[in-house]
Amino acid sequence: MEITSFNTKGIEVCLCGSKKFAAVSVCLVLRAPLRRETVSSYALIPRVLSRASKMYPSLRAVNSRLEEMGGAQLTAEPIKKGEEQIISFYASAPKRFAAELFEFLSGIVYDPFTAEDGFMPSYVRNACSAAARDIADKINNKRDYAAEKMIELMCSSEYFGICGDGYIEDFGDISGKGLYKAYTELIKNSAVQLYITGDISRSEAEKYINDSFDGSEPVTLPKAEQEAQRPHRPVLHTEEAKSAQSALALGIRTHGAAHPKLLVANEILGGYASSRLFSKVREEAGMCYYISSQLYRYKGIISVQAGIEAKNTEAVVERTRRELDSINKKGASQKELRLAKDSLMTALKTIEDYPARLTDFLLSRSIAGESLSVDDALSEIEAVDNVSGVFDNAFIDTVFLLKEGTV
Amino acid sequence: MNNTVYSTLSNGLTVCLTKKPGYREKQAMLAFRCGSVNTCFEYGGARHTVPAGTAHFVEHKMFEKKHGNIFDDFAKLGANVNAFTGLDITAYYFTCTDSFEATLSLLAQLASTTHFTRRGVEKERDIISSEVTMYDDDPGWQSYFGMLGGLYREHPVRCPIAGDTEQISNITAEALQLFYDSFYTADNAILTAAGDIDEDSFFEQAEKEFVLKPTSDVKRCSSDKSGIESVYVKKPMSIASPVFSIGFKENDFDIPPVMRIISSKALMDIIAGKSSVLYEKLYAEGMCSNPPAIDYICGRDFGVSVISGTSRSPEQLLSRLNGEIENFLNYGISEKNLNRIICKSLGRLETSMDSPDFCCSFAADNFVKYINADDFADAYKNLTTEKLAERLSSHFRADNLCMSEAVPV
Repeated sequence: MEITSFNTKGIEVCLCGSKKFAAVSVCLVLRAPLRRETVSSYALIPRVLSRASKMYPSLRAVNSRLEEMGGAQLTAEPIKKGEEQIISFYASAPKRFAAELFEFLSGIVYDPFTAEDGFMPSYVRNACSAAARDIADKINNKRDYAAEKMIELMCSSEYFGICGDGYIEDFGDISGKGLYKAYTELIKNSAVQLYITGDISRSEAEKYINDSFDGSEPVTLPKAEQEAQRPHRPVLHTEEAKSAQSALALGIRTHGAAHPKLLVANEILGGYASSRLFSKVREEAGMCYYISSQLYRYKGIISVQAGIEAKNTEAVVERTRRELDSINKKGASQKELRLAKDSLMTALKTIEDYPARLTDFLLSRSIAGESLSVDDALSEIEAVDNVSGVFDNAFIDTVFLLKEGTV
Repeated sequence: MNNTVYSTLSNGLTVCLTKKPGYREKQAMLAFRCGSVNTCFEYGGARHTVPAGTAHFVEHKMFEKKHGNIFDDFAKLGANVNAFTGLDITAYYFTCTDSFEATLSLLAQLASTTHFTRRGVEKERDIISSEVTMYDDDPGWQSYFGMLGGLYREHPVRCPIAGDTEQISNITAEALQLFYDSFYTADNAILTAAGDIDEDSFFEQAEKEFVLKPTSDVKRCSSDKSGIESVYVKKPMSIASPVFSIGFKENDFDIPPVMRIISSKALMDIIAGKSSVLYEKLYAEGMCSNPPAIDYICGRDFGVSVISGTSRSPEQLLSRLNGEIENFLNYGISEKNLNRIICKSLGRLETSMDSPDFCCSFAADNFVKYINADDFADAYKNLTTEKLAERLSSHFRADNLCMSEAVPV
């Protein structure tokens, strides 16, 4: 696979050309700073835009058109990455529909269905109530709910603590005109990137873009400011739910370690099936059904999630602390290091086989200011030769427990 | 599928390879035609009944070998291994980038030897029990099995795949061995692989290493009373809006499975899918914020068309759905609707093959259902509005359905 990047019409394009795919995938992202004032409006925009365009002015028309393009799929959603809110439009279709797909996507994003100098008021109302319901329904998945809640509590004074899907209490005040204004601001002030994957040459890609997009001024986003950390005071928050198991999420702040090293350390801690947490807390101690950790790379935060009985909360927190200490002081054996690196590298190597994962990976590298290359990422991981000291100054900041009960 | 080749080994094992030139991921899956529904069977001249959850328990314990957990051996090769048990399938699979041959050898070992001990079974019981408890908190899962329990009176499809805590407590090492001996045979399994893999050496290695008993005299028994158990099932849970599953029970097993699958799916797509009139109305009225998921699940002697999702009021949604079915019965299905759905379905079939994941599980799923993968494309091309109308009136009937809801407490 050849990954090339170029600029055309103010759009940063990243093209992943490969003959191996039957589908063409095109992802247009509008990158904006994650801010409390704009987050709810921006979160609604993908809903309203994918509901109707000037050319396809109803939900049925949009969805019928997708089906006619060989079952093309469109996912329009806000994504939170670090301190950015990314409005993402991901579309894919069989290759023979490539030209139509570009045109369709451009119509959805840049040529929306409007009325009375704004978006259709009823479409905006529908989007508000659908968004509000989806936010309320997050509790249906206890594990993800706990993880998200923990981050919001832990980072309540930072941009990263803002919920990227918006806030129910804001939706009542958003009108068709108001949202249209937010939309024009988003289009003007966001950095636009286009990620294309499939059997497409650069000249084809340029032609499709030139035929379908009007272009925009290049925008440079303000550098995300790293905000002051709160002093180390581990806080336990508890919420009760009628459930059989409790969902535990704990947030660990780390400082100063380079990303690849942190990535490997997280893998050892709880990133894969032979990790410390999995083998010690689940397999040996039998304290949970699932336990794993993930790294929020832009913030250096590690989130540990576990399904437990509430009475084991302290024991699981303590064991996590013990493993953090152990990794920090003693590092890992060569064997353990190799396993963790192999696990990360296997996942990375296969990324070029899955367009949606590849797009997400490249977008993340782009936000971090890194090269758009899978091979570079592989060498960065391979170069990590020890993890001791990686958790110097790391501490468990916040513990959130969605507690089982009969509420 | 152009890049897919099939072969049968001398022991009777079906082997299938989908060649994906240029892919770095290599994947293989060994799937057996047995799952949670196989709780009653004849084997070795006797009739046996094992507790619900036995197939799933076997799947867990297959990883334990004399020398320890074979899981770790996969990890050492940099491969990810996993397994799942479904209603009518048990599958073991791995993904890797390098060392495909060595990993494939491990998959062969994983399936061809057992080490079921009393101690091992006791230890696993706790792990499986907490897995089951986890499902208790999953509203989608709860409403789904609520619906199957409503549709089927006696058929084991009504029991959750892993069983319940009590059933699990009755599973013994002997039952696991009995199940393995009955179902884990070459004629009852498929080895499928996808990736940039050399065809000759793959088939050669499979022939040499996948040593399974060729066949067993197992006979599957199951029966169900006609009619349904209950029209409506409800379970209170700690959730925000209701999660529902609506199921229409299959009664016509003379229709080939491919035809049942595609006609049911096409009808549900036309009536309640993303581009339907009904969904547009439901969305505008705030009845649901996402299109309902549609599926047709089936095995040897069960089949259900399923519409599921989240809604403010599943009861109202159901009554609207029934009204819409009525409309289509009265006014027919247009060629335009049908052609659009066929175009979508064929396109999806084509692009899905981009994923090695899909290639392996598609081949395995077709095998356990006695389906030839190539039949899908032909069946779509032969689909007519008349055939759909017939299916609509015979299958999507109000006396044939169950609505199951997980509702907020």
